[in-house]
Amino acid sequence: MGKSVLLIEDEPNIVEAISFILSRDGWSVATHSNGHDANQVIEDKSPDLVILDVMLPGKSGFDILRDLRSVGAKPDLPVLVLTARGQNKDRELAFELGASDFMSKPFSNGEVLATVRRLVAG
Amino acid sequence: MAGMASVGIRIRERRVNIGLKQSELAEKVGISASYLNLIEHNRRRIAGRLLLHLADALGVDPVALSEGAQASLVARLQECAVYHGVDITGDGAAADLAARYPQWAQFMIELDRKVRQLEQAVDGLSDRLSHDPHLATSLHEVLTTVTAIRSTSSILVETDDIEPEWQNRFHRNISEDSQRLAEEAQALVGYLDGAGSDGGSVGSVWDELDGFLAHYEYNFVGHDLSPDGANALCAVPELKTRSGNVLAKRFLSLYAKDLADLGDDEFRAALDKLGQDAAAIAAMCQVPISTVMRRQAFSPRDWLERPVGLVACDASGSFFLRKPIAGFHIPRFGSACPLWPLFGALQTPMRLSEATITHTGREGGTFSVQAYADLMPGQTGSHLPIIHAYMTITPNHQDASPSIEVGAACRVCAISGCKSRRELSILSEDL
Repeated sequence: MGKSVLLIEDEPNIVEAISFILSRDGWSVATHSNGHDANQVIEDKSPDLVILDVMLPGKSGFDILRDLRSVGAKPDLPVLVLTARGQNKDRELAFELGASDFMSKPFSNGEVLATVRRLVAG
Repeated sequence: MAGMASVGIRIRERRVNIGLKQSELAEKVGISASYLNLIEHNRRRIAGRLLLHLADALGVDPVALSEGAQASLVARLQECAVYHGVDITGDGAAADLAARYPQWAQFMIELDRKVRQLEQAVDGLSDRLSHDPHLATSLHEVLTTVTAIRSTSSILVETDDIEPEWQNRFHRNISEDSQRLAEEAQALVGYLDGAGSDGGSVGSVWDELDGFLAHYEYNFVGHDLSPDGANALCAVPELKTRSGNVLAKRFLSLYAKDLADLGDDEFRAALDKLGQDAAAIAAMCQVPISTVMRRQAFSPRDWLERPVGLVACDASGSFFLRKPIAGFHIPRFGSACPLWPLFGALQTPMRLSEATITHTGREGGTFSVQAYADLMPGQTGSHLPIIHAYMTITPNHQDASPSIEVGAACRVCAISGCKSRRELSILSEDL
């Protein structure tokens, strides 16, 4: 079994597409679709990388990231933030909160795959 | 002295032209009819505040009264040049133009007015694109659906050995997403066209409330405020949704309470005696200062010496009541300039603060503002008081005391080096 990715995204068809391309590339993919217990799921599954949407029901991706870096003991876990909010201020906020990389929607599958590979290869 | 001598004649001409009696004009500006008669016959000199009040009551530029129409034209041309950053004010060109081609001069002034109107519209649209929550949500939905379609279709095109089961599933997903995208795009176009499915316009319910207040020219004196009366008042085309209707009724209920606490006769007597001094009126009539501020804002214009604008916000800084005033742009969706005394009042409830401020917007002017925050009945979930802050805004043409520079909102503000700036301005790269 390859390295694991946790995809936190509430749009089911995006989840299906990203899961497919990552699985085909040899990744073990787990998914989660809401924000309010996302930090606990990260803790439980202990993935090698998290792909995190920003606009999630229950808790925003930014808040999840903030808690992950401050409360949770996951300072080095790679987190790729995906969002339709592609403004500079969102990008800046994501990196300020500890994102490893940031990608605006709509992105290409190739970009996602290349970024995931790069972040886990470290 | 020849110019001075004709001031009275100009006042008289203008008064007669707009059909005002001498006694009516005298009452508006707070002088006796006999004194006005002396002025109109050039037997009393006039300048300063009284000249400004008369010009205001007659609806003309003070310069037009003191120096004549041509001087007013020259002053306005010069003001246009300064506004557009053209340095042609010192060589007499404006005076020549006004004297030789007054119609062309008037045409330029009219063009300038239209340019400024368009600039204001651009400010409003920029504000909407940045902060309209409905638009932001719609665009987010569209981008998310486009992402799903792009990602799924790429898989179908780029994966050679895709299993039939996955192929079918992805085809179905694309079909569903494209249907959803069509609906979202249609809804977005409908929203921007002002024909959304909920019957709402391009604006929010707050636009509906603004439209409702403007429909009655911010003056509700003499209207029936009973439940039936409120229903009748709310039967205006500006109120399109149930939410807008609720906001309008909530306003009428607050207005009715203010009226019960400070009736028309008592309020007018207080204005006559104390002028537009909210704190003094509140003390004399034993009502909250915020009641006086609202009564000032929603009274007939001719009750007041100077026009009054109003903006009110809750503890989040979100506006829930606005009465615009020329030269002071109030953003539609909050996110206003943090330097406004309105927001300072949230930190010092139950204390009136007063300031002279200069609004640096394109149409901006200098204003006297009063800000006051009320503690409302009840508490928030975290046991904090519920606070509503109000700020009245009155043009200030006389006071030469130092004023605080403020903007409308960071995005459309050009103040340089502002320590309170939240985001880059479209007018300046300074942060």
